[in-house]
Amino acid sequence: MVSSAVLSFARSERFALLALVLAIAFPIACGFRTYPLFIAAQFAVFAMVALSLDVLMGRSGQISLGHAGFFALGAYAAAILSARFDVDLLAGAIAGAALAALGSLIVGLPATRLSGHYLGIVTLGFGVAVAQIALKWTALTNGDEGVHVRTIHLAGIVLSSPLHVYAVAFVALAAVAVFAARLPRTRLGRAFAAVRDSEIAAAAMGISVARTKVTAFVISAAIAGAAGALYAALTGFVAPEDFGISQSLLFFAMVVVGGTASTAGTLLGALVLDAVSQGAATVGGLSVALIGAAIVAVALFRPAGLKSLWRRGEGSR
Amino acid sequence: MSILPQIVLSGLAQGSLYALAALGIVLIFNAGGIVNFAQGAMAVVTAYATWGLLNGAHVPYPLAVALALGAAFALGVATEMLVLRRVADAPPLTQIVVTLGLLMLLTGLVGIVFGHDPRSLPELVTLPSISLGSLILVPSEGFDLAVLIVLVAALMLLLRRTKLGLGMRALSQDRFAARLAGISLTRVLSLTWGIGVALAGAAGILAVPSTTLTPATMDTLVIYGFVAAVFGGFGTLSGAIVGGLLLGVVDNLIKTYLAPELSLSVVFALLLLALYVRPNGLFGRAVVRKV
Repeated sequence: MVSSAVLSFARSERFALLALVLAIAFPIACGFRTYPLFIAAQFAVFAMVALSLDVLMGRSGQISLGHAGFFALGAYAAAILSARFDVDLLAGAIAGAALAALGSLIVGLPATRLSGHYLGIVTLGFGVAVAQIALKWTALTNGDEGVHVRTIHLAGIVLSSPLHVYAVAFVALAAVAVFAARLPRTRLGRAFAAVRDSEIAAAAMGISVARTKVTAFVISAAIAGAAGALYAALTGFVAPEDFGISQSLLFFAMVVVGGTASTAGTLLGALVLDAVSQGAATVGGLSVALIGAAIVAVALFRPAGLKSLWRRGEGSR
Repeated sequence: MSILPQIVLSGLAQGSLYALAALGIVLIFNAGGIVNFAQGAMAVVTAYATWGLLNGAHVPYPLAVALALGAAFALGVATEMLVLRRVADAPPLTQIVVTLGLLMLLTGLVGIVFGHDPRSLPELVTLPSISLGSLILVPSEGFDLAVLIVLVAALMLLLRRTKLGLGMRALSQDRFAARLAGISLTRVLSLTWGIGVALAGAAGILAVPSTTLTPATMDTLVIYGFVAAVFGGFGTLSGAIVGGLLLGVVDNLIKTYLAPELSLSVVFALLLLALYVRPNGLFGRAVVRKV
């Protein structure tokens, strides 16, 4: 027991070190060119959303098919605050996280009484509704013309080069990854797992099932919202078509293909699927078809996802 | 002169499509306990098959529709046999994952094969509108309702009068007991999937003339189908029909009197409200969970 705990600690340390080296080596390897840095930073943002979704799905056992909705709330909050009031990115991210957390109460509160398929339908509807409101509430969001972000500054420092944004995105991703990896060993994380595995047993142990479920929604949405603010800073522009059903399903696919309830698995899933969706984006429909096929294949042959490649025996859940 | 009756009538016509979509979802859910999130993509495949037969092979329209519905049936049967059967005993999350994967796979394939340019299908019935006083009867709307009535009647006959229907009803009550009584679980399940997907396909074909056909067209239709099914209390066919018709009317009222562009959002809000007040739908019975 002790040795395996030490081993897993050493392994996660090694994984973190590897990730750090890669994150520092990448800009040098690509010669600080704008496009690769942009793509990498975008991956970091998407990976944050995937991790936030894993906190909800993997850790607390609640499904969301509308995470692009929370992502959109954060992105629009930050973009509109920046465009109208030249608000700092840090404040924008906090506002985005808060708005997304508030939005999560809309689905999170009924979610305490729903599960499985119902929750899937409700969250799917939520994602679509957010995208539709973003498209139609033109006075606030500019409709399909989108919102252009002003100069991006973080805590007063102007982020002028792509490298700056890259650095911010990866520091944020690292923070979220550490949080997601530590969560299962905290009191809250254990409450999540208890509710996920048996609501009745959790309630018998004195855990408030409803409060735990809502908490999971709020935390997950807040992270996705903060990631949305970063996305707005990264692209400098937000428009409704970035937040449709397909984006929600991409986040969902990242978690499922990587493996639920696994931080490293979700990161790997995000990396693989982001690469697929970038690489095949030029052919209409190809990336969607490939990702769909990947999901079906994973569900049929490796229900535990890519994480089962290195964590054998845990694939049964 | 009030336009209210007109709005209700068009709402019922639109609602009959939601009812068809909801029926397909509920039928499949009752038999196997799986919510098919790919139902919309399958409706898209059916509509594109019709379009291809019509414009590529120059098949007469009614025959093209019949062939496409046959293809939808085959698609449903094949999906159950090749994919869903393998996850029949898996946790709900895995089942949701599989149907979502199918949704993406089919949407993507349709995009690759047919491209993303909007297509259209002609109206199935082209008769002049009839006015009854202030009320205008649009034949295509009447046709939508007629299709719903005919298909529901056929479905009722199937469920009440045939051995397959008996099997389907038995399966929805108790799978284990149904098997003990000698019902072939696999056969009934795959045929149910075929019928359910064909219903979605019918809704898809009927929906296209009044909008345009793209790989993502049916997203809205199916979300409405889900909402209708939930309104009715997932699991009852009559609930799906009433839920669908009601949703069509409510949707049309919102579009006319409130905000045409926000109908989906308002409908979603109604769904949340309905679920919060009655988690088992308007007509559903409370599920008692035993410890």
